[in-house]
Amino acid sequence: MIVLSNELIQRADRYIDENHETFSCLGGRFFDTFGYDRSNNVISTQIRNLQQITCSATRFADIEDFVKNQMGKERTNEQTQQRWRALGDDVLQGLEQLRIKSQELDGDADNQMALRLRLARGWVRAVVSEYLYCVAHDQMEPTP
Amino acid sequence: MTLVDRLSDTTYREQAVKQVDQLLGDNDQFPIKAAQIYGLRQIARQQPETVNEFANRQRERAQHEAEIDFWNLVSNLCSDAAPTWSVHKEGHVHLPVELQNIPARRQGMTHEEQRHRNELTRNRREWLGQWDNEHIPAFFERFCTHALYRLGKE
Repeated sequence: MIVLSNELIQRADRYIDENHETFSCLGGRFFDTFGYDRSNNVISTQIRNLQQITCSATRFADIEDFVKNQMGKERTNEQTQQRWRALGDDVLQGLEQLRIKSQELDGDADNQMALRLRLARGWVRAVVSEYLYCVAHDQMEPTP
Repeated sequence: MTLVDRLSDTTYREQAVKQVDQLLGDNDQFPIKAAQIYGLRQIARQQPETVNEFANRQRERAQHEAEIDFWNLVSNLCSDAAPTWSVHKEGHVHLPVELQNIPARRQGMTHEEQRHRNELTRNRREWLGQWDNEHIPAFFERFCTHALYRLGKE
């Protein structure tokens, strides 16, 4: 297991903090696109799946592949696929930025892998937090 | 993190995207069906040593040139004789030092030298076989996912 230096961890975390607004904005778009089940108070399984894969992946490309799979596969319901197709390329672009950042932060290939995963976990925290905030906000509105 | 993790996250991802995108070019029409890509992924996961054979069989059945090109590419990607990059060739880059330069067969080799050479050759073959078994599934996971992604954009 790769142990990142404190300095690298701080630099990665600073990047997450500095870009929090951009990531949050994506969380808002997830809410607009996927919504949630208001009557049963259940959030979108797609958001949970994205969070789960991002937090458990050992390879950053597995997160990218999750998004590509959701956009590409035929054996899913059409509505979910359409939603992913509306948002997926922006998600992939966001992940690509994290990949580039990891390369800027350190030249060592193993450190870059660990950095990518750390950045991805920070990224998904911000995205999901904003999504959940939007859900909470919506629940405060009177039922239409 | 193992080498297969690192390559899967970098070289295999880059090559998968490059090979699929290069094959398709600006053409929006994907040469094969999603079911065939699912099939390829399944074969790569469960029987990586048969991907080449599977690709050759699919190519024989292919009816369009673009389809033939696709299966040629798949076959090349796990071949030693590929004109460009392949998973198998990547294995040669990572061969352990002791298996890299096996002395050529020559006249007058002692029995001990011949035995040593044969042992190295066998170890190298086994090592590369093991490489293919581990790395072909990892590469084709990326390749098939990117192909499905491109197919979904049609």
